[in-house]
Amino acid sequence: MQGPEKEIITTHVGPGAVRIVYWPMLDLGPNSVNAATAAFCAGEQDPVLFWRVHDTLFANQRSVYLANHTYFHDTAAAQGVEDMDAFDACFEGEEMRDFLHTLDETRREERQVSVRPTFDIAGPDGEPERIFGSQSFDVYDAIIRAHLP
Amino acid sequence: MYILSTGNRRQHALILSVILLLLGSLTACAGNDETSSAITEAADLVPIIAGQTADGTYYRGQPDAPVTLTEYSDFL
Repeated sequence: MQGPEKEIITTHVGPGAVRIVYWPMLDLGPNSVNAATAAFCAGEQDPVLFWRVHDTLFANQRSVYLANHTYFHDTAAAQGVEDMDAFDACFEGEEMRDFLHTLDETRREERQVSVRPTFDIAGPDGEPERIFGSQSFDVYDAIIRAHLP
Repeated sequence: MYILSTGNRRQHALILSVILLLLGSLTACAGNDETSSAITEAADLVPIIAGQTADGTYYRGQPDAPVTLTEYSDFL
């Protein structure tokens, strides 16, 4: 989500009404996995760094499609990841990649999500309302307000 | 002995400025690859609070916010 996300954050996340959870989908080849691995390896050092790398990769999706290891390394460093040896070890290792594939399997099999992107918006009762594809801020806003206590 | 007059000094300063500007432009062009374009797109959406869910993925916002918006998507 890029378009309406800033408005959702300003209107709902900042005041404490909504939290946004990111769940990776790995449907588009090796750089789907590499990009998710870069963000999650940054997040291991600080969850805020996950979001910094996440937002930067989303803002540069055309570059990410053909990016190499150096691109992900430099992006993480530029967004404030300090222990780059740990980042590189995480990025090059199998453990994080295996974990991401587990999340992806859960997404497909348990959560039955197959359309990219999909959004679940759930209130205190935990029952999510599901929407598909990119939507305007007004669509998210109406559903969020309907689920607020 | 070559003595710079006020006029000459101005001329030399102007030439030096042009050279520095050209060098600056060349340096900027040399660094204008995909990596630097990614880096200059600084993210500005990050709120102060972020954390990890029980599933091991990440959230931003208050952990006890009444509404949770889960986004399933690919980075590409």
